[in-house]
Amino acid sequence: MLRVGDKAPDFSLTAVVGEPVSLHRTLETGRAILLVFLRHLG
Amino acid sequence: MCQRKDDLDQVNAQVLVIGFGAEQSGHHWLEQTCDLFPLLLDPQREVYRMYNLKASWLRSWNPRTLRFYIRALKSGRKWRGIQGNSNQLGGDFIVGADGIIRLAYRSGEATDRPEIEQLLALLRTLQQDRDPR
Repeated sequence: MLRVGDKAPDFSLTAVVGEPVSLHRTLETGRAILLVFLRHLG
Repeated sequence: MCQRKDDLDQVNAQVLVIGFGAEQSGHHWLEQTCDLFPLLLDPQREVYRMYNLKASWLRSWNPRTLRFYIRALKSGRKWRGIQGNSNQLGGDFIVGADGIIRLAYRSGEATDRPEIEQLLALLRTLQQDRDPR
């Protein structure tokens, strides 16, 4: 189970509008990231 | 969250919203909810599993959840049904600029989310750690 202090696993997902997004590539901007996982899109 | 975009910008945080379902549902969500942050689609919920986000019928469908949906419908939100697993729970994670998980909040039930102030406070701390001026 991932916990605080663990390295965030990378992923690459397609944005609904725009390009594919990679977590680690996004981190290259030097900013923290808030990941909001939705329950569903309904 | 959308109402607090300026606060999120002030703490120099990026927000990535992750959902599952068809692209059309994603467009609908952006129209109905918020289009200020990127919405990424994880149709097979592989990233959900990677981040240990569970599905639970019992935790997803309780009276509090039903009241939430009723209020949403009464406020004018359009309902287009749920695609995929309706028992999937969500969560919020903060990943520091160093790639380390700083917050791992897995929803205990459908409407369980951390307070935005808690998120902002942690993001503010991370920003100060990076830029201690």
